[in-house]
Amino acid sequence: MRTYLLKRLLFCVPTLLGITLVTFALSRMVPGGPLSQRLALLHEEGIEVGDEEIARYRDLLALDRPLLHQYGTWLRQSTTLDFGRSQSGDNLPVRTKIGEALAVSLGLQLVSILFIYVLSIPVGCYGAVCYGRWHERWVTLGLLLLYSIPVFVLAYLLIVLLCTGQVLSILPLHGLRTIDRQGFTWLDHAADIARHLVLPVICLSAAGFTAMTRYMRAGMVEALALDFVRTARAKGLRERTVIFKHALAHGIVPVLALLAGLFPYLLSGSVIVENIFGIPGMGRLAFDSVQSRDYPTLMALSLIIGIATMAGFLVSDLLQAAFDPRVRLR
Amino acid sequence: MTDLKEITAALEERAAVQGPRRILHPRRRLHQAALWIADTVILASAAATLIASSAPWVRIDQGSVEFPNFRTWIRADAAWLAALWVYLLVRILLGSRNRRGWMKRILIRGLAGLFLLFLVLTHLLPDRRPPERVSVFAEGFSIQAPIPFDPDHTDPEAFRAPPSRRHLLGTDTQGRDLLSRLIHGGRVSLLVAFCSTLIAVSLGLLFGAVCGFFGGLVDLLLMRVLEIFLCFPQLFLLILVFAYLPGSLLAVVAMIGLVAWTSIARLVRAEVLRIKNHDFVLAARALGCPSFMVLIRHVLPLSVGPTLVAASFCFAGAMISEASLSFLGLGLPQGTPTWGRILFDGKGALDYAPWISLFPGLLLFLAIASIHFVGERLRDALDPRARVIAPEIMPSVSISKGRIR
Amino acid sequence: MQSSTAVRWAVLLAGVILASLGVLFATSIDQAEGEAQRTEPPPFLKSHAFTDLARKSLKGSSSEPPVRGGTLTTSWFTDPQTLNNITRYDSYANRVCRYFLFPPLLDIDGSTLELRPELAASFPELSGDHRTQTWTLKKGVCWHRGLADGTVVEVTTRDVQFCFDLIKNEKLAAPHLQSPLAKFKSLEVVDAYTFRIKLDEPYARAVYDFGWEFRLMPAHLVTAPPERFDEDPLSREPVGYGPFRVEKWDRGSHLTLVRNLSYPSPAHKPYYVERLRLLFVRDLDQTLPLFRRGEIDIAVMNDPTRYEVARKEDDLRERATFHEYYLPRWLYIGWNNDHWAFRDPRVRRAMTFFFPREMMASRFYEGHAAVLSGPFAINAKGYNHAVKPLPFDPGAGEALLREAGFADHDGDGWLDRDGKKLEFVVLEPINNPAALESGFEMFQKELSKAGVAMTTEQMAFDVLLESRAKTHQFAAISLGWSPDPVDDDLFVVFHSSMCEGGNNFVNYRNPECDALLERARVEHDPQERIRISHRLHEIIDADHPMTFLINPESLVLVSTRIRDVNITQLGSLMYDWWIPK
Repeated sequence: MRTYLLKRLLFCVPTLLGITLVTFALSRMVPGGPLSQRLALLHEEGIEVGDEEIARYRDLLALDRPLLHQYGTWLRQSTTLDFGRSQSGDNLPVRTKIGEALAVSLGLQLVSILFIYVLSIPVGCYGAVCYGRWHERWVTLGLLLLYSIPVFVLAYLLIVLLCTGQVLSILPLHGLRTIDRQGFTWLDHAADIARHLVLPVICLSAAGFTAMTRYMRAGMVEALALDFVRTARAKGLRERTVIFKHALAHGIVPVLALLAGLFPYLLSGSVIVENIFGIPGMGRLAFDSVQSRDYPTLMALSLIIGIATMAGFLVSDLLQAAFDPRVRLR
Repeated sequence: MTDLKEITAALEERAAVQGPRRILHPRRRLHQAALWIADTVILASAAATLIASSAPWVRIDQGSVEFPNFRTWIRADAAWLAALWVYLLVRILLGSRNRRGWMKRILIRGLAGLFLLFLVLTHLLPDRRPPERVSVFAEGFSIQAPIPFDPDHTDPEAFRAPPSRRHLLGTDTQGRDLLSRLIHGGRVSLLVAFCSTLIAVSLGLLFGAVCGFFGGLVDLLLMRVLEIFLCFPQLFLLILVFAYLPGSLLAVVAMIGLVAWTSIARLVRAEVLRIKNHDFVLAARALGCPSFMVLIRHVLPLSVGPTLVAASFCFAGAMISEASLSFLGLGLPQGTPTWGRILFDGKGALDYAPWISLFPGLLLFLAIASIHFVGERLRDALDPRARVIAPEIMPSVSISKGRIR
Repeated sequence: MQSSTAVRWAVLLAGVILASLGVLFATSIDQAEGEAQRTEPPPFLKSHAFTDLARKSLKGSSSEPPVRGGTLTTSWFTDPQTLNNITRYDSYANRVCRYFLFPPLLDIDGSTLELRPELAASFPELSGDHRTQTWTLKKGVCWHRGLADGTVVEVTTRDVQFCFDLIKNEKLAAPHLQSPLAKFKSLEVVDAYTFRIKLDEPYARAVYDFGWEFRLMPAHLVTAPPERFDEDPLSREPVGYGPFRVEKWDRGSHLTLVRNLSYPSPAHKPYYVERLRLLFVRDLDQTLPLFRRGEIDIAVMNDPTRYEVARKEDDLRERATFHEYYLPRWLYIGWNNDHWAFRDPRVRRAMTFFFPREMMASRFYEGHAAVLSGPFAINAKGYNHAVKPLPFDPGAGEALLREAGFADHDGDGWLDRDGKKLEFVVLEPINNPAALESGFEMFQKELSKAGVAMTTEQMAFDVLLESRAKTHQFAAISLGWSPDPVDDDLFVVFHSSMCEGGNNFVNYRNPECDALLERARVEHDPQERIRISHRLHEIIDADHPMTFLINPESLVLVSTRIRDVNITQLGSLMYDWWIPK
């Protein structure tokens, strides 16, 4: 087991290097750059910059050093978690920017994962217990339809129905909190955040919820067909005890293992949802860094998301190895 | 009969016998509806220039008969019609029983002939549409196409018009007929999804097969490459590329294919690893069969099932990816009528012209739902281990409340 | 199974054939009625108030005296990048700093577009040869934060000296500031409120440039060295001296400014509002829903059609006043004057005949755009209204092309000359406004009817600028220019020396034009400058290096909660807006 773990950890390193290298290469290969961004912004303000000044900018942004040197410097600095300063014009340390965005995204995703689990476990159980009944089939169909709606269609549908006042106007449209928070008690604060989170969480968890329900259902069906359940029923236990005390413990295991698969989404956020609802999270940060050619932030983001994804795979592989001895022997 | 393993084995046997036939000629109405939607979309896309065009089919002017519509056909139209014939072939013929063999033979020969004809036409037709020189609605008698508007024809009478008899689904913010745009947009969306899936499946199949079969160092190295692609956030990559490269069709297809191949590769690798340990592979090797032959002739055919299922979900995913890209304003150029782009253009007009976003959203939803539905049926038929028992195949088993009836 | 499917296909095909027996339509591109030919500029601002409540909110309609207090909320697309007064260069930071936190020495009066002393006590005294300017600061202007022990610090020449030295310091990377101020060579402090600035060569805009561009930061609070000046904590928590100070800046969410009454505001800028809140909303389509919910008080509409629909809504008519005004901006298609086809001015003129500009303005922009004939904003003093924009006339365009030697020699349907087909690509930035895109599509159709193949290609704006516009690697390019509202200098756009390293992307070279541009730079008399501009307008129209498109209008809804609403030529500056209790 330990050797397996060590081997897997060792193999993470070249992959991470590869991810950062790919980001670096891509961001340098596509035309333009932070310098041309800056010049374009200045052009829009009607300011023209001469050649010596352009050279000075280039030097400031460290763009004229050889590429390998740039990559090497970045690697060296990132081992101490110093990701440099953002080149998008605000010159904030990248660590600060990512920290702020990460906190928001993490919170949002945790809420939606909780939401997914809280909803999918009972629905999955229901799907397994009432398998084949006419009402269960309609629910499954409904889940399939929910899975098929693209995120932005769902988001705009909900916005038009619930926010803009054409039908209803009960939920806020934008942002994470109300701006004017004078005299809010902690209860008001909680209610405010809850109201703002409803729509983003629904949009984020729609797809995950349907997938998780399916896995839950499959797990429960397998669990319900096992011998010990038959024994429990033969013993005369109530159906409810059989399902929730015996079968559930068995059926829930693969679903919990899937949690590791959701781990990368915790950190990477969703670009579309964050753009639509104006949430300053990791997805929007990624989108903005790409648009403003902010190399340091891009590199740091891809490293962090890469680490998160790898960690997710590692944990899920480890869980599988823990449950299935054949994997360890390979 | 209550043993899960026995049930699964029985299902596999049944699936191997019945298989795809049930997918394409289903009994259940919902399944039929899903296939109908797919049929309509493909037919509409293939015949787009025929059914949605400003150029009339026939024009009779002072005794001379003209066919302006056919003069606007280009290579892409003929290629689409060829694709349509292939689709009809698969759809009607595959899985049909052997009764009425003569009908089947005529159908096959007729369809094959037409297919060849269209292949020939693709070389004869021009590459680009000729300029719209003369107002095609001049004097004389014309038979118009059923939707007599080009996708980029601006109708100055009807701006942001709601659905009416003239414009069946209304017009968009620039006065272009929405139904025509959706039909031509279906072409682009389908083409992008299909080509990306093709790229993803080829890459994934190749990669997974080599990785799984050869194992050892090859497996180690290739898995690292795979992990790099897997761990890269996909939308991130797409945004990075399309923010700065001109969004051509080729670029979009290539990029979506490049981000989607990883899941198929993983799947194929797992399948190959599983099949590799079967006895018949060992036997083939013992008989002296070279590795490649074993791979191609014995191992891969068995993994086609799950791969096909993954491909169908990949198709849906590619449609969603392309729509998401268009929605963010990236990807294909601004005037191209893809469903995602029309939705993006219409989202600013939601309060006074909701039909502009409503119809492409609805279409996207229906198309993707049908693909998912058919994909699930496909999975039931080809990969029964991946799902649970369905009462329709084993009607005597009902596991509700654990009682066996 | 097989037969029913076949039956279904047959039914489908039959339905398609039946549906094809359609009706004859006659469509042609409706040539919109051109606006009556103007001889004078259109009104700068049109304000509409449809109900009594709305009418009370317009300027001069309220009988009550203004009161102080209230919060005004508006929405911007994104945060300012930084609020460091020296290193800022993006438009949002410029707006916040120039108008609210750090008012410059001379300010532009929005209503008259004239310079007025703001931080300076009066206009500077000029020496006889215009080489020295003597400025006097206003007394009693204090920084928002003083020393650590609480002492209030005034804005004095100590800060001026500090900032001037900083700007002249080579290690500071702020070319947006160092470029305009490069001509000012030295500073001499006379006393705590007076200083002299020296130039090497005088030029017409010297006073404007220094008064408007020169920026101040608190010398007693700056900690960062010049080479890392933008890392100073003052960038995030600015300390200014102006009528507003920053109360809270929640990055990505909102910025709140609160009124600072100790600043001696000029009489025409009372700023009655107590709190200004800027919300950062990325999705421009959401400004109207936010306005409807009452979350913002000013909604800038980016879609003219949506504005027109909103104008007819009863609920909005009750709650908002509608304003349409021309901000200085002109859009154009630049023809590369070195291109084999566009070398000939007749071909360039012909292109203008094919573009349905009037129709685009009246249909796609709903009339909220003015067609231009030259490189000036429609309300600019330099715009020569005697030069009429060319009408939409494909016949005239075709005649000009024929005259230039283009005809369909090889019979393939496309025009050509010397074996080369007349086809070109127009480069555009990504995500042009939809109305402009529609105009381009009509243009493309008209051109294809005449036998000219035009296609468009989109790319990111910075790539477009850097690798195509500045290197002249294009046949046609679609760009815009925002002229300076007070005193625009077209030298960088049209002078032949600006082909390399300037903004003369189209390679326009005309000696007469060059001479006029050089004269404009040194001419002091405003009437003479207007005459020069008019003559420039005529020359550029005759040579036609670009096809000028439109000057779009800005469309704004303002809540009726606010009184004395008026929009100036620089936008909604909110000088004397007030909110009743």
